[in-house]
Amino acid sequence: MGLCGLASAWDFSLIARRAEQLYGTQSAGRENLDAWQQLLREHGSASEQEKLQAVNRFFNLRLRFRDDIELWHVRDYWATPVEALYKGAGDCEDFAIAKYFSLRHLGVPSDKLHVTYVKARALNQAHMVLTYYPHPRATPLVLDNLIDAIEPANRRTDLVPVYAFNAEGLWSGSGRQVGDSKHLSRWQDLLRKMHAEGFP
Amino acid sequence: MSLFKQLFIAICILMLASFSGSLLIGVESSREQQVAQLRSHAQDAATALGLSLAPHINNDRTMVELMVSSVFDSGYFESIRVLAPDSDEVLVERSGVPVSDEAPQWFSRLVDLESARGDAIVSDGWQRAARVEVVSHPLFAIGKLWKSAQGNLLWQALVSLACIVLGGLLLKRRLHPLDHMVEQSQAIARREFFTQSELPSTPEFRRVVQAMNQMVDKLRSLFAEEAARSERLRDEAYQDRLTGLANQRYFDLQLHACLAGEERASSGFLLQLEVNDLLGLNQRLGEQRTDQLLKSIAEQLQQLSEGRFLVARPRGGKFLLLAAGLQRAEAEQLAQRIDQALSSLQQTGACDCLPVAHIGLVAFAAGDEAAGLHRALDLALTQAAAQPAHPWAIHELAEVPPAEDPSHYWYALLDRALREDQLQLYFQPVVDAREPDRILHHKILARLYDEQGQVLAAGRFLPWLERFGWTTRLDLAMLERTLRQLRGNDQRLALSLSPHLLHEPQALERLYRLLEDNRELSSRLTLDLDENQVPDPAALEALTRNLRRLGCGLGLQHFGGRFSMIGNLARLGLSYLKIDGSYIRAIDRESDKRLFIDAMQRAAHSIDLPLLAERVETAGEWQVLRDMGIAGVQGHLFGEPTPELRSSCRDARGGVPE
Repeated sequence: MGLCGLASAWDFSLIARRAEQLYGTQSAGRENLDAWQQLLREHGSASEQEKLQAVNRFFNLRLRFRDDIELWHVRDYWATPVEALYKGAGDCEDFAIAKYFSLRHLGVPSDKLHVTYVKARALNQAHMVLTYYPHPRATPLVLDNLIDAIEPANRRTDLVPVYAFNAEGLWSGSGRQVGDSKHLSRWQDLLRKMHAEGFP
Repeated sequence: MSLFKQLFIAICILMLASFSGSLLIGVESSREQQVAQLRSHAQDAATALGLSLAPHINNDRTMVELMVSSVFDSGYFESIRVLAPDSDEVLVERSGVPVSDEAPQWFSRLVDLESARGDAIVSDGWQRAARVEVVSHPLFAIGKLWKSAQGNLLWQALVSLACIVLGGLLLKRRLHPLDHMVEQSQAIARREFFTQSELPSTPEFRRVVQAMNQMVDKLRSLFAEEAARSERLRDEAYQDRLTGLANQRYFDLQLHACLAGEERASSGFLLQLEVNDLLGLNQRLGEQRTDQLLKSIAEQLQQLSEGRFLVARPRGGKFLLLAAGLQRAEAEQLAQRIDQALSSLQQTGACDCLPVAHIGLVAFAAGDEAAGLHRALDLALTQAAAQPAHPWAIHELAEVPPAEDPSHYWYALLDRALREDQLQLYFQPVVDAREPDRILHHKILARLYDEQGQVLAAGRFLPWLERFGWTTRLDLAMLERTLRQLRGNDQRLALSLSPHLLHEPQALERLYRLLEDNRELSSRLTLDLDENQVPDPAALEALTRNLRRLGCGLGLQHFGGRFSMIGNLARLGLSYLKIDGSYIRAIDRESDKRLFIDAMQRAAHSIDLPLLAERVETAGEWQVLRDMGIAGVQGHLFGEPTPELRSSCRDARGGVPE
């Protein structure tokens, strides 16, 4: 499942049709989806900084923060970008995932993007953000849903980094088989759902 | 290669194929899973290390090494490396193939599982400080595969073993009829023609057995036909048609053999019986009743002779009895009993005058003239008719009988000879009829030295041995001497057995034991039985069975073509039949004799039984016998009985007959 492919590889008419079948006809959802498509189309040739800004802004505006337990009635639920857009809401990992897929789709290389587990000091809560490393040893930029601005990580004293992982090896790496280990099952679930939604 | 071995190899090959197949499938089907598991294992370790190395990565290199080592040493890893985040610079590395004796090297190479890789990022705060790369070793997976392969092999081996055992048993059961067939064919080779009554259930074998039975039946019926023909010819030539007794011709042959023979009792009494007034009887009673009377007389005579004497009716009312081995007192007794028996015939009304018949007796001994004896018998008859006291008379030949009873003399002489083992073995060669230089075997003859050192032929002392009841003693003594003789050379020998021995269980047991103790010799020994002394079929079959077990052959001698008397000849497995010398006499000049022997030869040939001819004395006789296909000949023409064995080197081919 090469989700890192080019924009043209995502057939949005198919995705929209499937989303309607799966999640019902919702004008708000449909609108969000179209907006996402437009975002991806428009920023295909922008600089990485512009892509980051656009994608971060898009999801922080479009999605409201809601806990999984409220939204999905389970403790922890990883929603696909389409699900999140249809709901118009999501929790921190839904933001991070949606941003990650969008940026990868826009051509940001995988080794620059890490999904990072952090602890939000103020809330004393587990949290997840997307981090962007312009080069391997750099201090990353943090794409967070708590604040709208993209800040360098050293300014985010409210967050304590716990663990960063490169999602590339887990979900894409076209040639490599993603295993069926428990560790990967969340990604696996997510990818399966996205495949059902019409992603290649 | 035996069927069992083939089965064994087939099962082994099958097992090997099945084992390697199941191993291959097992490895291949679990390969994916094993690889995924290996990868997950590597990834887990990488993630864990990435997390736990974070606090130490930039300030405590020793700690990092320690942690890497502890993870490396506690699991199955090919290598764990900590690399710089932006280059391939190695910060810390542990690598090496873990040692395990679980699976052998060749198995690891055969299975060829790839190692799997997992990686993680080590962060120092927000910054990436290093990468962790973990390569997990498939040793554990190979170990598991090895174990399952071992279990698999064990199970397959057990199943194969069970297959081999069961298959072997089944095969053995199924092939059992084969043993019977082999037995049957071997029996045929031994000239024993029997059919298998139990047909095997396997159809293929059943057909073979049926075919073999059919062949045996065919051979047997062929033999029966030829034997019957031969007997018919014999009866035509040598039997009195009215009474079934021997005729004049047969009587003369036997008397001649007796008087000339050295090996058979050659003294005794001749008895002639002449029915009183046969012509008158014929007129008074009619032909039919007269014939009836003659038949009754024949029956009585046969009853009284108990198979020991030859009874003949040469013509009309004349009967002859050849009683070899009989002493004077016994002869008188016999005459008396015959007279009594005939008197009882008169009482039943079979005859109307007394005496029914007159009886003349005369003693004979080896060397007497047959014509003289017949004349003496006539004189005795005249004498019997003339005297009123009793209707029988003994004609004394010229010599006055010795005053003292000779039995004391013989008793002492024979007893000593048997006790002190003074019997002398003489050997007469029996040679191939086509190559007289090839000796088939030597016939053993018994000789005895008397007090003057003269050699006595068996014919002289046999009547006395019979009288003293010592023939069994003679047989066993001769057998012991013969076995001793066999030990010293490589010749084949044939020894006569007296019929008495077969009726004495103890003596028979002794005979078997002697043979048993000399098993290695007994295969070169054949025992000869007289045709007219053959025991009843059951006893004969038991005898042949026992002798075969001991490896010793059995032949019939003095054979006169009475196949029907010998029971189931085709089942006995005899070594040969020796035709009585009296039938060989002048065979080149008497065509009916030739016809009869020819039929006998054909019958014997049909069951592959060799015929040997006794007492062949002229080149003409030999010629005829050879042309007929007789296998072997014995007689003066080919060698007198001598105390020395003819050396065996002479029986090799190439020699010129004398």
